[in-house]
Amino acid sequence: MWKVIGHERAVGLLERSLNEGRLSHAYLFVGPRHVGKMTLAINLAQALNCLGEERPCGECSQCRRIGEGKHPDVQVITVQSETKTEIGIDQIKELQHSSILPPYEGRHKVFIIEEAQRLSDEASNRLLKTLEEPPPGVLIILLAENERALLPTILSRCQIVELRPLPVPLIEEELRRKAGPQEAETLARLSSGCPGWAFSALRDSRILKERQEEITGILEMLNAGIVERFSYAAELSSRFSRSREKAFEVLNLWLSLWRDMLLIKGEACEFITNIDQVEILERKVDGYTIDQIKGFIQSLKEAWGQLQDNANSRLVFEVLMLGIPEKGKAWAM
Amino acid sequence: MGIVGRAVATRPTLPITGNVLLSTDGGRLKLAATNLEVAISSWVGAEIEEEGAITIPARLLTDFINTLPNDRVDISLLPRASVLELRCARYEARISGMDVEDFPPIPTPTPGLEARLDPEELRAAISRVAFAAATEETRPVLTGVQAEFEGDTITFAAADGFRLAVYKAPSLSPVAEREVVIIPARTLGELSRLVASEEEPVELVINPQRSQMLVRLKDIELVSQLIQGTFPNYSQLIPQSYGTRAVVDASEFLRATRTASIFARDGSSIIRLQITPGEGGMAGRVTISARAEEVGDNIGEIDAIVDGDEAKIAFNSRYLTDVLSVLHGGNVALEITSPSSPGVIRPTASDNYVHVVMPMFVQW
Repeated sequence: MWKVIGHERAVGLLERSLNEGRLSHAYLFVGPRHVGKMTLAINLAQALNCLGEERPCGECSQCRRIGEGKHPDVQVITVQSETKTEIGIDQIKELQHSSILPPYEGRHKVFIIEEAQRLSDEASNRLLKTLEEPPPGVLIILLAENERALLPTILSRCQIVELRPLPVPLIEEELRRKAGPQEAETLARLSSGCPGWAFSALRDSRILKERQEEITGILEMLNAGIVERFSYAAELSSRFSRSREKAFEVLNLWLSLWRDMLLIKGEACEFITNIDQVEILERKVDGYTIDQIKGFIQSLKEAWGQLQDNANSRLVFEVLMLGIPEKGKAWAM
Repeated sequence: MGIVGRAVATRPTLPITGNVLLSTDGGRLKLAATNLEVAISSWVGAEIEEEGAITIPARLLTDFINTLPNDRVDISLLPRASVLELRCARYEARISGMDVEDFPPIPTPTPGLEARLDPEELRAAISRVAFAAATEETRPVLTGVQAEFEGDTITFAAADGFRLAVYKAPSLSPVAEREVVIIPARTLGELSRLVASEEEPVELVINPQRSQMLVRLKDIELVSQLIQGTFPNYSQLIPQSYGTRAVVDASEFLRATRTASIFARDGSSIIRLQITPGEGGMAGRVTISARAEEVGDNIGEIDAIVDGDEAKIAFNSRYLTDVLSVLHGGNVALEITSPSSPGVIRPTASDNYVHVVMPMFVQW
């Protein structure tokens, strides 16, 4: 039983290659965060090492320990600590060392490289040879949100499997097994097609609470004066320097709220993501023109790009805050 | 603990490999640890009152035991919670452990090939060969030592692209068919420590898939994963003839090389050798020199029995000191053909060891 939710195409592809023994030696799973890349990779590792009849059975000792991250032949390589931003060359050297040794107890060695876009250039180049010709019985799976962030030389050596966000009803259905219908619907919508997020939000109520706090902060900014906006920008930029990841999440939230406002304006309420905020958003949207909203979404995207290009984060956020459209006034570039 | 501790993973990818497995095994206490490359099990005599097993952090246990007085240690497993209690003299400690289920099983290779070896020979083989293995992973097979079982000899060979070391050890149990495996150099490093005090013949067991090797010593078992791949055919690299052969005293040669390497270390580690045949009543000699720009230079001279013409060659000082340090005592022969072809060093007392070093190109 493949445990991953949805992704029939990807699962079908892997299952066929597995049964025909034509599995590629390196895969790249591309898809947004929490969409199920890791789950799929772990599943594949289980299928390769499973002792059961119907692989992956999920019950034999191999499957169980792979699932729990306790199997010696399935290694996840990731950024080592919060303070590091890259997967370093030493980690790849270790991978190579370990790849020339036969599997410890399973049939195949599987290396899963999480956030492959974070491989340093040296590490990527070092990996090339192993990717091209891994020793027999070794499978390398790279996970990334965006294939363009990887070196072309890496891309050309992997079979790329794209994982798209899942339809909301499918996630809702899965969630219903563990949550009430109301909660399932809300979470499924909020997840924007990424079941991983929905399930972790279900387990950990802090995630939703934090999100609510962020949203309140964002909505306050819409009516706030210049001083508050600037202090918000300063705070955001200091958070950015602590953890880029978190700051991008906040920016993502900004984007999704403004997208919803655009949808409300365009009277397409059935598609909005933040359904728990509909009433507030409906009030907020009053007075903005479609052009203003579109314009600001554009600014958010620009800010995103600039941050990724390592612009001064404080400046980027300040410019962004200055660009929040004012009600009743035309959007000026 | 000192024995199995060597196999405990230092930076574990799998947290539980930082643990050691304690279990009762047929009236003895068994300790086992693995870093997924090498697994070491060791048995110690114990009075078993009740069977049990647990894994606990190796560092903690070692550090604690090292502080204990030399006395009897009582070990007991606390019921339910996985906690190990140790009592010794007037000390006691409780250490939280992890489930035995999650500990990677210590492999037990099924015998495909078995060989027995004198521990003295194994030590010699490891010390003379293992250092020549590559430390870089660019060519994985070179990070290992090839062991070739044929008839009643086991040939150990290692190379890193610049040097090659080959040692032939007699096997105590001849094999019917030629068999070749590549053993990680790290494993051999551990092994040489383990066999240091061993007197009984060492037993090697290699599984039919040629993926694991078991080394059985008295009260200790080591299981290592074997490197997969094909070792380059090195026999063609060993020069079959020579133009000049100089026989020198190994320790004198080593001393002169060490002296020269002091001057070589600021340059590019180049040391130059010049072999001069004896003339008339004069004995032959080898001049060993090094120089570094703006630092200085030195020249050392040792006596030699020279066969052939005058010759010059330059080597990396480290490669030369490495090989000479393991050939303590006796005479060694240095055989060279030209300044640009590999040099051969072998002990004159026996023909079981050959070391080939690539020369360095220098302006004379």
